[in-house]
Amino acid sequence: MSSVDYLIGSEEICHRPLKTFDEQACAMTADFSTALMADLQTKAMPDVLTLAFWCRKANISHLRESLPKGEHRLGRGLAFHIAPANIPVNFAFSYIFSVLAGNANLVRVPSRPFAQIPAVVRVLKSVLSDYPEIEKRTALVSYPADDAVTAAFCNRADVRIIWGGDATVTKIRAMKSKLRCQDICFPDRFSFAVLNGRAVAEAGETELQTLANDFYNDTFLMDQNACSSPQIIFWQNSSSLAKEKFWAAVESETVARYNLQATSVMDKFDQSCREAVELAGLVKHIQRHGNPIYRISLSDLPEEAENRLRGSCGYFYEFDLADFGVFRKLVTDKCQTVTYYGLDPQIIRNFVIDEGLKGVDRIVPVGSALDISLIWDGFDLIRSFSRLIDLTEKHRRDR
Amino acid sequence: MCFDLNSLAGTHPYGLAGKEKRALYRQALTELTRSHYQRCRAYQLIVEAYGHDPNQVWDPQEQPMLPVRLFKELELLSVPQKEVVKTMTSSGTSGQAVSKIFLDKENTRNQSLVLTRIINSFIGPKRLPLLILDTEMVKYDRKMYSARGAGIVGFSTFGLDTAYALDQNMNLDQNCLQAFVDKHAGSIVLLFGYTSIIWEYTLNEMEKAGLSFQLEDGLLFHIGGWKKLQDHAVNAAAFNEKVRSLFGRVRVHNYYGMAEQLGSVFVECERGNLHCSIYSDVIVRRPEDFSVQDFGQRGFLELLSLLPTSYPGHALLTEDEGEILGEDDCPCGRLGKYFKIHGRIKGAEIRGCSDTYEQR
Repeated sequence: MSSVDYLIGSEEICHRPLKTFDEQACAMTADFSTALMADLQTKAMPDVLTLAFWCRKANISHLRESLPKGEHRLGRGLAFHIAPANIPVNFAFSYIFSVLAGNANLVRVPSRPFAQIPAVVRVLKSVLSDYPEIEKRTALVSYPADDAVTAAFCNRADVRIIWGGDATVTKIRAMKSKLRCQDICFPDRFSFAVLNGRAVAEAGETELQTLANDFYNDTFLMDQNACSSPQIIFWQNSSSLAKEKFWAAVESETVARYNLQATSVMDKFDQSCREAVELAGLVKHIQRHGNPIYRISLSDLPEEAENRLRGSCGYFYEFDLADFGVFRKLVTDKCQTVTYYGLDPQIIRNFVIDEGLKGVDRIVPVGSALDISLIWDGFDLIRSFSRLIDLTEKHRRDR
Repeated sequence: MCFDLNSLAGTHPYGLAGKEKRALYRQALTELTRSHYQRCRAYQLIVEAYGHDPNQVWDPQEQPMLPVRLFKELELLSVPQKEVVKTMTSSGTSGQAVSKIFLDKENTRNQSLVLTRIINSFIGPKRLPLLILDTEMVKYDRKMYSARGAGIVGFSTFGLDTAYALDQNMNLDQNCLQAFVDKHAGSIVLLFGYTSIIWEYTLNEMEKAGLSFQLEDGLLFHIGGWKKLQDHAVNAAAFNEKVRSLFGRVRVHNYYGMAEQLGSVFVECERGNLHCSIYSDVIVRRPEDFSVQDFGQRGFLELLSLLPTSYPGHALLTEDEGEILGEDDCPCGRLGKYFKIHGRIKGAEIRGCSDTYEQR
């Protein structure tokens, strides 16, 4: 396997699991946080700072304490991670989650030239030198897409953590793995937002700006391509006042912050014209706010809406909500995150549970769509990555 | 009803100044938009979705435009299918979808009429001996009436005694070349072809074979961008120089046109500027909001043409980056806007979570 470049570690990676929230794992994570925040290069990278903030000591202690005392967990062994190719720091989150669960980790990092990757790897490498038990359980690799290499890694894995598109998940899952290997897959998902028009209409200037900033972070920050970025905006208590107010505020954010790519300008314009034809009868009108924002107002949802209504780089579908009934048809197991503004999220959760919907794993306020956490895609990641050692005390029968 | 091209028969193809041209285009494009709106359902849906009122008169920059890529994705036609006499397909990069352009009799006739008026303004009204720097075979591949074959057939109307520089296997036909040059020694001759094909199959091969000629007066018209040649660091100057070193005294005119708007081509003048004729116009739009860009600044190039009647292609947003250099004041004397193409708009890395098992 000469094509494999070991950025950290080697083929001789130790497979023996550690306790979940092992002392060294927690201390290393906290040190990693401090080092990322102190490093001149990484502290200037907003997405790396998010990672550093998540890894901070207080957060790790809190997470550790939230695991019930009587629950004795151990990592599963070797976790093989296929990280997403186009999100620079996701590989590091995936790695840290699994370190905390107690696993040894073999991580394939994206080979695209993101500045964040070498910087994060450099910091991690130096932190690991103080933690030999974690260091010998860590291998970060980079290699050109090669099924033979991937298959060999799959063979050794006790856990496979597969991020990315449906095609990747399908392909990797088809590769042979140990019978007890646990697969945690993150295929393509679909997300939407529910905004209360009345709340938007009543929002003051500061509130509106915060909302626009939060919405921007949910969407434009990842070119609206993150699984948790909303594609459809559902309006409760819809009014044109609320919509115009909202989009004007989002437009100001994009003008100030968004690096609009010429190719996405063409893609969106083309998509809008095509959909005016392909979704004939469903498109009420198309509005642009400059070229960053396209709004496709729908009078009804098409069949297979979760597959057909896919926006990117600022391409939103809008729909006026009479009640949640429309979600019965819309929501399939593809649906991941609902972001909300100005309404009680319990109502959405109750609807999902009462109606027995197969999708909606997360309900978070606007602004938190991209916040990664240990609960993701409906999985408790620490528990999924680890093994529970169940113990039953023998009860004395004689009394 | 619709704008009549005959009204321009008496006007020189480069003889309309800005003010008059704007008035003409305001009327003519409004009529074209209205006509396509009434006759093409898909176009109607787009115009309505964007809230454009076709019953009002609009300035050219206010006319609804279509992205040129849409012709690869949808079948857009403004005449009943039975009136289509020709379906033009763009050559397209291999593996990509091709544009389909539906032409009726009238549209076809207008395309060749306008091409004739434009080219004649450069070469005069007489037919000239013509050397096509390509193979005759593309003409006969009727499975797909491709833009390459159509271009050759279209240009052949300006020629006499047409000869082809390449044989059926795309190899240089040295005997044929020699015979053509000998036969027409001393007279003005016409050459025609596609930029990258000329470079690769004629110029490079002549050089390898040590073949060159000394034409006394030649006119080369060539179509196609510099995209393919840029990989070999070939620009217009290098191209023209090589043509002259291998063929002698040849005036070289590149021209820009797309399968989606055949006929109303943009020909490069003696100064190396691409010109709009009276049959076409260009608008450069700012990437941030599609507003009209200032002269001398780059942006998306929109092409306007008075010709498309059987398909809604009179206002197309291309994927090329352009820059208008000026209007009515090119030192070559032609009126109208003149401009420059800077190649395809650049691709970019878009972020997102899918597509993880990347290929390299």
